[in-house]
Amino acid sequence: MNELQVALGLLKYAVVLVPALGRIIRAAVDAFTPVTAADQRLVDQVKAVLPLESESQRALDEIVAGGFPSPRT
Amino acid sequence: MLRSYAVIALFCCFLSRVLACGPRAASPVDAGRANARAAILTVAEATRQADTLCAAVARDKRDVRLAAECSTSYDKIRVTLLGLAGVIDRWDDAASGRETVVCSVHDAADELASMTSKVLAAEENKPGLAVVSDAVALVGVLGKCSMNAGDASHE
Repeated sequence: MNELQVALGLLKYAVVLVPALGRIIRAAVDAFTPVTAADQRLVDQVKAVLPLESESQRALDEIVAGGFPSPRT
Repeated sequence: MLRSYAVIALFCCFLSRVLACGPRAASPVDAGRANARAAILTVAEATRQADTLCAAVARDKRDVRLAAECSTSYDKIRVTLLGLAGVIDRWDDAASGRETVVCSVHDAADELASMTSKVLAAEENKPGLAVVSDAVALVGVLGKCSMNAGDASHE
């Protein structure tokens, strides 16, 4: 009977304290997770998709320089 | 004695169950930031495709003006997206983070739509780019820009 009471007492504490402890741990993990590295990756991804010189700029240069043969000629 | 072991074992099972590292449901804020991230990358990809199409049309027609307009739009979108990619971590800042990102993504999407419409106006036979309409739709998911400067252009 005594052991059962101890077990029930433990269970009561567990029901209240353990979820609270879990939330605290998760909040701490979120707070200390660095986001800068992810943002730098996003910058790199955008740069990879959109290089500094656009294709239309190259087309413009070619047309102006006259170095691109017209498909109609 | 055996019963106390059983009780302790049961307690340990309960404890491990509560502390288990299962997948957490994303909060609405996380979903918003994730959508913003996806929108940035989709607008970037749509811009690349629109730029390629524009260059092809400009070369075909020897259209200097079209090439120059597309190049200007491309540069504007690129600068906007790179700036956005650098400030996406400020999404949670109540004062400016979310609004800055949403309004800037809208600016980029507007410029992309304008660029694409110029290309399609110059070459009627070219099919529209699905990725552009997808990008514009995805930006719409982020919500409207409610900053003062953006009110007129994003309503």
